[in-house]
Amino acid sequence: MRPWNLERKLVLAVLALFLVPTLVAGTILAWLYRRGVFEDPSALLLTSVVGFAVLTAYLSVTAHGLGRALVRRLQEIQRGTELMATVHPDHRLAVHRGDEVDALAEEINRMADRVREARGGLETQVEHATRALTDERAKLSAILAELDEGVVVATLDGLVTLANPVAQELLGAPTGSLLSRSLFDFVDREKVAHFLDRLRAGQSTAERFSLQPASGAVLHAGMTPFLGGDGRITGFILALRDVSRPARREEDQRRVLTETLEALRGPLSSVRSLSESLLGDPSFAPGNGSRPLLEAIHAEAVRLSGLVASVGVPSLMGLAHAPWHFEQITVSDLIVVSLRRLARDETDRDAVRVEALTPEPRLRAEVSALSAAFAHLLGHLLALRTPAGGVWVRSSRRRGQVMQIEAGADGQATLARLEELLDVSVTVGPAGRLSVREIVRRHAGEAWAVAEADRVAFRFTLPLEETRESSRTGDGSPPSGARFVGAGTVSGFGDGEAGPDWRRDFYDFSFFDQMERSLLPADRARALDELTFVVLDTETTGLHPEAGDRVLSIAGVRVRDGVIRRSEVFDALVNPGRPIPAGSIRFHGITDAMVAEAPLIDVVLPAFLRFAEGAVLVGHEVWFDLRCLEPDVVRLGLPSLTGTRAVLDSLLLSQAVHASTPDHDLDAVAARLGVRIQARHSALGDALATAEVFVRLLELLGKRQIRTLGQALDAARAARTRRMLPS
Amino acid sequence: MECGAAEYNRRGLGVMSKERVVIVEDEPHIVLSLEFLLRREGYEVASAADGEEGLALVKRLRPDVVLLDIMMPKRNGYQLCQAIKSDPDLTSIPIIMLSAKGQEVEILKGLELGAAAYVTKPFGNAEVLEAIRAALEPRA
Repeated sequence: MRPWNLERKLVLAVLALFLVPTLVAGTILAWLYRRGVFEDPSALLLTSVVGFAVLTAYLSVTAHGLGRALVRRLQEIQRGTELMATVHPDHRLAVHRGDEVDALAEEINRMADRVREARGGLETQVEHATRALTDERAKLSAILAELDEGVVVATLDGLVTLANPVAQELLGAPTGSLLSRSLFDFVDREKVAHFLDRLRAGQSTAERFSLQPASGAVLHAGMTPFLGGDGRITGFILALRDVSRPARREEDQRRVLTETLEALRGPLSSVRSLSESLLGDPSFAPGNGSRPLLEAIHAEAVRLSGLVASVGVPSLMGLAHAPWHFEQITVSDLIVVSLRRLARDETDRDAVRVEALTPEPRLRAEVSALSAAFAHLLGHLLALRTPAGGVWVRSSRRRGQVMQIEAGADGQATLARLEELLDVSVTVGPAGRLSVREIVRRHAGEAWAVAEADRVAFRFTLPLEETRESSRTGDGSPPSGARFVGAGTVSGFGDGEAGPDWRRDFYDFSFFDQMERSLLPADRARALDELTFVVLDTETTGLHPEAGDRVLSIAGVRVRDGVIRRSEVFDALVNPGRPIPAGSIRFHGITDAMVAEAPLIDVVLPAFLRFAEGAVLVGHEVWFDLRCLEPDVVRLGLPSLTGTRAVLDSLLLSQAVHASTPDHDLDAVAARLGVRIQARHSALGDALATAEVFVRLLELLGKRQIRTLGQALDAARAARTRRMLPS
Repeated sequence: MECGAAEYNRRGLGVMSKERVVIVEDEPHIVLSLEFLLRREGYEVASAADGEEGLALVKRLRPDVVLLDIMMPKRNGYQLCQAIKSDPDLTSIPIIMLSAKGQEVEILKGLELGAAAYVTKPFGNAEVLEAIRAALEPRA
């Protein structure tokens, strides 16, 4: 304890305050008493008043002095501490007398010293870390600068933290101007946000879509998230590739082909009809010398009609298709993006009721444009609806793989007014403005308005992203009494055509028999849970390998111990050595340009077989894949796919497990078993989806006491037999 | 097999009241071939070369059936179809669309707008006559 600490000083001060006036007053009173002043009452009163006043003044001055002395010191300490903590870390408090207040000041000074030391250490660490980071960044920038692809790293709100020169060029940003700017100054915010939401929701680990920046380019974008320390997504990386040339070329070719065909159809109709009419005319009756010439003209017209009709059918189903670089999206997701574009409050957004199909098929759409079109129309529908009325978006699947979407409201408007709204130009991201009709036309669709007494609607027909196992399960029959006739359409709509039955044409069960014959009893006895499987899928130029269709892509993924080994994946593009038909591109999105540099099947197939060595092959409708691969296996002298290994078909296994269910295409089975398919119609995407399906089927087979390879093959054979029986 | 008004005529159903067909089509050779065919089959035929003229003709003649091209000047076939179907006086007239646009989305649009049939070019005479016959059938 210090000798003159604050406590003692305070005690002495209080005592002094009491004793000094007491002694002074007592002395004065004794002196006055001796002088006889107390005998005079007025003198006594005067003395008392003066004494009290003097005493009060004394106490006030002394107490005030004491308080000021203490408070000033504390204020000094407060100000000094504030300086140390903020603008002047080197400031220290003055220490004067060594009392408790000074002890406090000393302690604060020591603490400031420690903070300064810690800060110094931290700054050194930060400096080291920053230097290391700068080095890494420089290396990364050097690597990125050499890449042919554009790379952009951005935060969740779109702030660009890293971009290579190619990205700047592709996005149309002046050199060096992309850093620290918003990515959304260059590309459509809502579209990027949509795919970012999918990543954040865990719906996929990477997203692919196209972007059309203000530069006018068409970019393929691959988006991958990156995680912060807490495991949450804190930003994303965009890999950008310029596909303008092939995309535009395809669009141009498609447009020219369509326009040429449409231009041919009219004159052909005239020639055909006129020649046919003349042949029925009595002046050209048999025997007339000109009749054979007229017959020849008519025969040629009919032949040309057939040719135009067949060329004009770009796919098996006679469908138009959207450009291959458009992305796949469900109607529900499209409406979510559209509503996000609406600058309206939540109440209005909630007023839009979306009635979706289950499972929901996908469209191939350029999300920026189509969502902008829907946002424009939904905005008007919300404005048109009656106070108690609703706004809805409902989709239905029509025959022939066409999706009809109706966006409507309870309200009133003239048909002309609604049709005008379809001609209004809307902003499509930074890329420019297009009318709703033009946007729909670019999607190979049609749009029109409907005005009834108390409801208004816009209807769209858009081609669906078709599945290989496409079914004819649409609700959609055409309006009653309506029929389709004519050279270009009859074949696409006739009952019994192009439905699931087409699969039977190439469903070759001879592979199954060959495989079973070659299997040893010991192989059949092996437990399913100790086998290694390779789940495969292929994409091809078409459905008829015997007519020259070739493999474009092969993918496989290993499954072992009931677990999909995602790190053990085979995925390769194949140069088919022939042009890819436009009709098939919309299934798989693989174009001639994409496979121009890819290896031939002669290289890829042996590599795949090495990958699949010792494994049981699994695929959904795997016989189609085998049938496509087998000719090359034979040509290259490789061991037969089915003569040396077991093969399981997940479609037949699904039928074995759920015999009473009619739908066993991959989408239906995946939906039934709770498997979410990503990147449908890419070989790897389908292989991974099939692997997920297969792992779940293995579990269900186990519950049915099907535990060995032989038992699984028997179950598949039984399902196959049921499949072949007429229903 | 070709059948049409001629067949009805032979049955004695249509001699006194020839069925009227309006063709709205901007390609003159197609109009020529259709007029030739339909007149030979016993129909009364009138034609217009664009949508505006077509609508006026339909309003004036109230035909039994309209053959309607889609790609036409002034008012296209879809718009004309909408106009006819939204007019209470004309809505019952069956419309057969004749089009070089042969994709499903286009065909569905035509049928959704109220067309009774959709014939894609290049068509044969039998297809057109069959479509007309079927369109008139409920009224015969």
